[in-house]
Amino acid sequence: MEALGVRNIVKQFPNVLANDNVTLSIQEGEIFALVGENGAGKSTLMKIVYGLYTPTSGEIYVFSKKEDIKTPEDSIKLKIGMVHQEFMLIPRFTVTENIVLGDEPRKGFLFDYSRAVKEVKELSDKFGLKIDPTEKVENLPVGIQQRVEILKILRRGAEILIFDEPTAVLTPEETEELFKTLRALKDNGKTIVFISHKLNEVMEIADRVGVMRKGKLQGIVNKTETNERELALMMVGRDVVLEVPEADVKRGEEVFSVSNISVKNPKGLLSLKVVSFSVYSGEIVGIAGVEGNGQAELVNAILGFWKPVSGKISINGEEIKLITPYNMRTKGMAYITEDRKRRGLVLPFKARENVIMGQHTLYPFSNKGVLNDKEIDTFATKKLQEFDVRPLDICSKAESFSGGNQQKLILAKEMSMKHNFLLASQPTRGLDVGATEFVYRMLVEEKKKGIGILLISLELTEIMGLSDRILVLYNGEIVGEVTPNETNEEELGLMMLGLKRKEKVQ
Amino acid sequence: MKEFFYRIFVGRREKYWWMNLLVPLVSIFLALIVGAIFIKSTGRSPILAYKLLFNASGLIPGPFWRSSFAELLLSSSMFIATGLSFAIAAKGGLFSIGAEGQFIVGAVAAAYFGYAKPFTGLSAIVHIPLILIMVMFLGGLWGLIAGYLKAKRGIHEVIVTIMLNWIAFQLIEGWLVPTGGPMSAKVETGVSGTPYISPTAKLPIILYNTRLNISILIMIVVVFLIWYLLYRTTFGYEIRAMGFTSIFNMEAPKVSGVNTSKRIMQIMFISGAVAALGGSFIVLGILFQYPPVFEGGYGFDGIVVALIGQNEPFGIFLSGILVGALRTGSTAVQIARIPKTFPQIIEGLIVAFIALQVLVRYLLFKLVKAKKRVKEVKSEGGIS
Amino acid sequence: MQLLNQSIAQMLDFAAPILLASLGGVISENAGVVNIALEGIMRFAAFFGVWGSAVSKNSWVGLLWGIGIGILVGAFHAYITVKWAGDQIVSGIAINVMSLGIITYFLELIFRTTGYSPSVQYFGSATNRINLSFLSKIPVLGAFSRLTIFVWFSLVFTWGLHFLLYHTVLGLRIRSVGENPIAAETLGVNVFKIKWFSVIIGAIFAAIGGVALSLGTMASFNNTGVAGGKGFIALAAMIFGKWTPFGAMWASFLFASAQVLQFILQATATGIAAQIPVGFYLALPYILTIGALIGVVGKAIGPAADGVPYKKES
Repeated sequence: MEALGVRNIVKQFPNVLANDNVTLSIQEGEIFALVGENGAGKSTLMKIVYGLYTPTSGEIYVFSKKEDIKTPEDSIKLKIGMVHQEFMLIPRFTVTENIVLGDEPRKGFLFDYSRAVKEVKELSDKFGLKIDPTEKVENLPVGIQQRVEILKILRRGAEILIFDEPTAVLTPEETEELFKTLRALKDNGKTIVFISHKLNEVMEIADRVGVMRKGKLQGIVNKTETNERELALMMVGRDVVLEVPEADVKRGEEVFSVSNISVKNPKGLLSLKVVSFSVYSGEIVGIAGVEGNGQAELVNAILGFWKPVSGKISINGEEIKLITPYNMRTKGMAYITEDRKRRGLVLPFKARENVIMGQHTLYPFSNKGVLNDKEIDTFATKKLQEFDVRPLDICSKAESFSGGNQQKLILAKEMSMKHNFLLASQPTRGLDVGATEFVYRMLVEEKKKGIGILLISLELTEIMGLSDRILVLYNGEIVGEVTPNETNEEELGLMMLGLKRKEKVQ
Repeated sequence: MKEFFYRIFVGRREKYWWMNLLVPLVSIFLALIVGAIFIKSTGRSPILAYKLLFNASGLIPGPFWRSSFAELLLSSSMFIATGLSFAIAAKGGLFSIGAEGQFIVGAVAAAYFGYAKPFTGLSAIVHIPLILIMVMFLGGLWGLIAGYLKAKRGIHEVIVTIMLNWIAFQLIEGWLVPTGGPMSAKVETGVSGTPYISPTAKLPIILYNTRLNISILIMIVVVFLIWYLLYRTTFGYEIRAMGFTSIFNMEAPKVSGVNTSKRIMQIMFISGAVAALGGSFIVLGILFQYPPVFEGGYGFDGIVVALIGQNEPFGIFLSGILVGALRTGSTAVQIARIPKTFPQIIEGLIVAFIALQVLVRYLLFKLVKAKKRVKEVKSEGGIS
Repeated sequence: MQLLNQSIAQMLDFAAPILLASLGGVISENAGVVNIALEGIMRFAAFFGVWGSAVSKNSWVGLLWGIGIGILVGAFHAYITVKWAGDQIVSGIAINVMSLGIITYFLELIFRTTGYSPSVQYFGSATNRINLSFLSKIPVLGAFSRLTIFVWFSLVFTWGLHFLLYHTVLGLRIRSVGENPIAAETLGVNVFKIKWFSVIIGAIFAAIGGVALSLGTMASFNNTGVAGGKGFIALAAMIFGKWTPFGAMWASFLFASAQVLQFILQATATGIAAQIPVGFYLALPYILTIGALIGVVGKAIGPAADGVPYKKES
């Protein structure tokens, strides 16, 4: 029996055709994976099914009945639930409040909070998803937050569950937990749609796989009849194994170090506990860890946004007494951020204005405080070319560029400033294969030039592929230091969960 | 010269730059229409009202034009000042309602340095610049208080500037200026309020037989300077970056090394200085003293001027003149039995339509599209 | 003792309009819509309240008129900011600016005066107050013995709003819309309806506060005196009170107390204190407020999506 079917779905946005005549059929009780690169249209398709978007044309069939879905309310009534890529949670509210919002147990007008808590507990027990109903969501780790999202849709009796890139923020262990949950749900008779671009996971959990490319459905295959390589080929149209260029560079002087640094987060909790390590020129040090284990504290302390309660930070052997972004940069630091909207760019500024930020007070871009447009234009054009930013329009506002091109713009900005230490925080987040390869190439180029790089990433393959040394961050402490040769993803995963420690043997 | 203008308006290489000009113009147009409907609904004649308004506004040459023209430019210069004050802060991401207080600080400072003994002996060419410098300095300080509290303590500038407005008002009209206060004229002189400023402090007249003085010329220069500061200097670059990212806590510029604390304080200083400058014009050019009771409102009107002018220096210059025209012509509309606060209704409507920007742009877009379609149908020989 | 009770009563009188308007801001911003037009709404309501009372010779009708104009203005603001996702600050300013012009226009049209209206039936007259004279001898409670209904409204509404926001389903949804409207939308909460509702209810609160200014302890409308910044003080009270009803209440009490303190000091000042010019006393409440802001936590964090226009994805 068909659980969910879409016929000839077309979705046209102002400047992109997101879904180009897509037709597919998902069977009841199966786990169907929808794969494709970033921007392939898979999220858009499912958002249409869920009622967040309305299709330009096309039809949706739920349990073989044609349905008109205009709002999420409609799809919820049809027993469709969606766990989004960016969690739709309210941080200030408790788990219970988040789960029952929109479907609250009431006593007349009153919100029956105690009954809500009970119902949430029952639900959590029934599906084996452990949570604390009275905890505020903002205090929960990401893996648990996802559980809240799942309970949300289960509460409304969802029979068709859509997951949009659910493992993006999970460790290997948490991913296994999620897969266990998915299999249990399948046994319970639920139908699951799993959107992802991680082919190894898809091969593990899915029954059938649908591949989308540039808005079109490329094909549907049974998991048993295909493999990762074939899927990748369908996704991108060419052979894709992420290439990390070779580089044999000799390690040099120390360019950066933190020594016994402890940082409190805004809530007053000690989230980075007496951490010490160094980065040398010509090497990439990778910090592995699940999001929320101290990475944000580390980055913000290095930038000077959060003052460490103890410890010191040094660049090129010189201790920095007053840590501000300006001082750190003058002493030789550059910073690539994953947060393009907030930290990386001023979106309403044009590309040419963004690319000089940080060196705008220097000659030749300005002289005695007055900007020199000609010089800025020349520089901007050169850099956009060098970093392959498209479209090559220095007067386009940053907000008009795609995510990948925005990241290249940030790279162009940061790399062109004088530096010998690069702090790279999740530099490939949200980027497609092409852009990711570009970033990797750039990082290796930097390494060859003798720059010392501190790479913070949530993607283990990335850490394994790029790093010369790997430090694992768990609960604010460095619980292990290894090289990629001495370890594997499984071991790293264990360390990231605090289940294993590996001190560096001197 | 042509290249200069080209550079300013077109050389910015914006795609739909004329849209920014169109929105306020359309809003003004729509507001005038709604205003007319309003007048008609209460039984008065809109055509007569508008005729009186614009004839008396100083915009249209005619009999008695000279004096209205003078009044127009006199009041406009103050609106431009307070408008710039709001806009400068707004460009930096700050919502400052402090122009009202900074305005009267400037006015009272102008009065003091205009009548105080040590300075009256100076010749005008020294006296006036001295007064203006002191006015801007003190007004800047008044704005700096809010800037400091925001930069160093994170206190929202809305509350602080509101409080500072009241504090300035109470201290001036409750201590400095009333009889017996340190700045009040001696009782024997029969003057209430501060003493009159010395003749050397009065702003020179530029149009014979009117009150029109150099204040408008000063503001033209200031508008240009502010434009230059915002768009040609690194200071302005950083300010604009801060303004665009203020909802994100200004992280992007901070990460790039911009000292946002320093800049916030500097903007508030400049904002206060410009508003105070406007305040000084009232004393140095119209009243020649600070009176015991002063009817304000210029500060708040500055926000309206800034919004209509889209927070852009040259736009504010034009909208300052528009508002000045509306106010100057307002006494005349009473002949049509419409109260003289009618221009404020129009101003409010203009602002409302600007708030409805999305709607206005949507309508414009549809208009453009409809025109295109008519063209196409015609060219396809559809309609004969 | 009498002085204590009198002072508290005076404080409550001052606080009531500010508190009411502030509550209006609280509910509106908890749903994510900034409303700086509280000032304009208060003015509109104060005027229409007097007009209504003059026409009907009944102060209650005046109150209804005030509420009516509040709903109208609130709908205007909601139309711009919710339906068309317009800039909330600009819309608020538009309302404030128009209020003066429109009211003066009507003042002349209806009452044929330029600054003030004639006296009308009001709530402050001896017969219209809520009399609890049995309390009058008790310290502190004695203050409550002869208050206008507006003070009672302000206190009851504070409790009511707190209850609404934190104990009812509707309140939960309102707050969710102000924190993360997209999340609320995905759960089937009608974001637009909730925003409209909150803005209009907020306007009603502010309107009642406005009527309190003209029909509460005075009996007429004075164009320059009425409101006079109270709407903005209400905003400050809201921020100070961290966007909660009780917070707004204590903040309003704080401001009002500062005003009363200033009166007391002026009246009882002897010796050197009597030499201090009146300006300092008048400025005192505002100076104290800044002081309190510096002392208390400087950074106030409101609802996460406050002020952000909500545009539905297509």
